[in-house]
Amino acid sequence: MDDDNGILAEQRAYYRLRAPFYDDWWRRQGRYAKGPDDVAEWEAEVAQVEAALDEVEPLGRVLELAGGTGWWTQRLARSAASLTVVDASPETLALNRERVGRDDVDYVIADLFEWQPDPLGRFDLVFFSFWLSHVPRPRLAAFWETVGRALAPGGRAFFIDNIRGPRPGLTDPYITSETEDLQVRHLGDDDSAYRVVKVYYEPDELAAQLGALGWDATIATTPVRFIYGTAKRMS
Amino acid sequence: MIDPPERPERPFDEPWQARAFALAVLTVQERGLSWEDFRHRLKTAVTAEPQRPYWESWLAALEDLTSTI
Repeated sequence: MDDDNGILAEQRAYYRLRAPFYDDWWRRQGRYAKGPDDVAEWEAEVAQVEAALDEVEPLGRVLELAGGTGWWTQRLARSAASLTVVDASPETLALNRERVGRDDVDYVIADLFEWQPDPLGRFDLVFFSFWLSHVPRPRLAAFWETVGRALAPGGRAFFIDNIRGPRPGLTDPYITSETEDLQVRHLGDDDSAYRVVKVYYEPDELAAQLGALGWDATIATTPVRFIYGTAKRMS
Repeated sequence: MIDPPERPERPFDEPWQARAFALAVLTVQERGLSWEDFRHRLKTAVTAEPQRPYWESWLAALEDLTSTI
């Protein structure tokens, strides 16, 4: 991925077009419907991650990156003193705004590979779910620099993402091909194809990479689906 | 394309258009329908009045969706 701008443009286009039915994935409906056992397993693993987020206590000034359609935004909005949500897709932020229903949430439409926090260092928590895996490896350091600039002294990052998991069949049914860190996906009703970055991290690997970037990270996984963790800049 | 080709490149010129988009998506979700259901109604609305602005056709489709279920 020497020149990934074209890939990232396709990735943005894919998620904008997927916005009307993105929630099928989260709600285990439509093409993601796999029966009650899947739903039960999903909910148990989401509950594990929610409990971890509760331990972090998302109070104070919170920044959510790639906020998407708002499943986590509505949770953050309950406890945050202030909440800013950034996403590249006007469509997903429209859904987020309607779902959350809060006039005091600040929404910003911006490409996260270009966006910079302003003013610097004012957030107590930076949260991002299912975003880190879409950051190309060569851009990982720059992304975490942005996170660091957004955080106030003592602030933390909390993230959630997919793991490859023990069951390959869990992958998105509309992934048509996959190479290292890159998937080709379609949306189901025509021949259009979109390249999407997808980096699956193992906890030890990610913790080591973040450590090299100056972050002290505590990372765990659920049994099948998710990786999550907190990170704080080393003093 | 997921939506009809008449969909403008810049999605929302006015806040009400974003709200109409979100209301359609959330209504479909809450009623356990498929997005295809709404797309079909939108295509019907666009075809019925091709000169009508896109988002007004969207509202017509949303009204049709909510009035017939």
